[in-house]
Amino acid sequence: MSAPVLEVKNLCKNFHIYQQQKTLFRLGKSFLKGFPFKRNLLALNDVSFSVKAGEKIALIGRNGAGKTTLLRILSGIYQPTSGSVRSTADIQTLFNFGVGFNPYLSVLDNIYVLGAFQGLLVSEVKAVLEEIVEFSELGDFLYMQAKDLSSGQKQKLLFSVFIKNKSDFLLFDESISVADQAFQIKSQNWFKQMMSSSKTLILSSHSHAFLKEHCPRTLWLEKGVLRADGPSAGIIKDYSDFCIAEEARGAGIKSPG
Amino acid sequence: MMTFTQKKNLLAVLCRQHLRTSDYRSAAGALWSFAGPMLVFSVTYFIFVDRFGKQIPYFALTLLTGIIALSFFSNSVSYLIRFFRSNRDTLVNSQAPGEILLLAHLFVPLLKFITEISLCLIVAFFLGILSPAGFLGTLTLIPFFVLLALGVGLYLAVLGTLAGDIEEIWMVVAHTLIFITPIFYQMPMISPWARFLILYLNPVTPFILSFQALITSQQVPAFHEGTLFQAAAYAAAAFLIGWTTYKKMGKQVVEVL
Repeated sequence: MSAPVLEVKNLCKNFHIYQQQKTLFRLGKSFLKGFPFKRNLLALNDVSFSVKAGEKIALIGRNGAGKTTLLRILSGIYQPTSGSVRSTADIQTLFNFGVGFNPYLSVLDNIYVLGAFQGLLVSEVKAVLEEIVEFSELGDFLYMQAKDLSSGQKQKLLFSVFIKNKSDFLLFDESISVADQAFQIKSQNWFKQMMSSSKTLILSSHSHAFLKEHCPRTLWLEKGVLRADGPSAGIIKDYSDFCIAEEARGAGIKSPG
Repeated sequence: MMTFTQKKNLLAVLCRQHLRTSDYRSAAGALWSFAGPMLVFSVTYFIFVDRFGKQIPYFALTLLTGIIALSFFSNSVSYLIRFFRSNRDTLVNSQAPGEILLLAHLFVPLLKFITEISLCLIVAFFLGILSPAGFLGTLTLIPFFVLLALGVGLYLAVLGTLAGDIEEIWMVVAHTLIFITPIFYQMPMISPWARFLILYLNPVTPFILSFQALITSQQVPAFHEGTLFQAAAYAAAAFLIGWTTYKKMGKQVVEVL
């Protein structure tokens, strides 16, 4: 394995949660009188890890554990409150297939817009247009307004453009399963190809079987803290046991008896 | 992070997208930008010019110029105030730079403004009052006016994410601007103190006076060379404040969306 392409040190992220409707008057009052207009929410607390080139890493944790926040910081969308993120790679992220999608444009125009969001130039999209159309199986609908596509067709379109991304470091957030079963096989095959490629990947997903199979290493976030970092098999099992125990504890608290 | 070429490509693709989904989607769509102002011009020319014409030279043309410029300013600022909220999904889920999305949003209003102001220049030409200096001066003034709108809009857009009522307040201010900007009247018609307030506290006034004067070959009282410098200074100051605020708080703004 080569030198780290990403180093995260003592990363903390605080969000301001507004306690009431934000108005200019309340903002002014808060500013002048120190009125408690907002409270802090610690989304990530002292998270440190490093990633080497070519690693395939699973990111797991319950809802609200800080997975999306961590990925958004790694991709530069959010800024850390403290700590540092150093990367020598061009990190591309996929949080949502729909970013850039415009339902009132044609399918063809959407391919160019979605491509531009992925950093693809018009000339580069033109060069791979046939492949995108073939992969998405939307050849007959190129000039149709995208709003008339079914949700499955829409996902096919978005996924087909995304996989043309040329970055060597990709982040995925809950985006493994798409469209109908036939297309899912296609997309799973693409993911399998990615897993055996030299690209660096961090995948956040609740599909543990997939993560266990393809990612040798797992990061487990719990309430903003990195609870475990190591081989996937053991950590994913511990995490599953933890979730079952938490659910049982929750059910016990709720139970009147 | 996107390279300069990728950003330029994204901007071009998004501008094209906004154009295609606006009333400019076809070449004939540009006629709509002529139709509205032509109607205003016809109405003012045939109905009011006889009355006001004695007091205000080229009343129909100065009125039309004023309405077009003020509409562009009000609409652009409104667009920008809504920008963060209406683009939340894209801003928190993609690495596309916010300023590219923002500039692309301004493209259609700007194109509409340039088309409409061209109509004023054409009318002035046929009336025989357009001078080469006036023509060049108008073209030079447009970028400054865009900077003013961008600066005010950016500042209010950032403030709008912290105080939700900014949009409503702007609606009231935009309506008031119609009356506190010398469009329907000329500066010598109002009291000296009102003249002072309107000239120095309303940043749109020096632009309206300058556009009217340049297009009608200085047939506007209260306009002098200093008005042009005042307009440029207001634009530079507004842009500096707005852009600095956006650059300093842009990331935090995305987090509270």
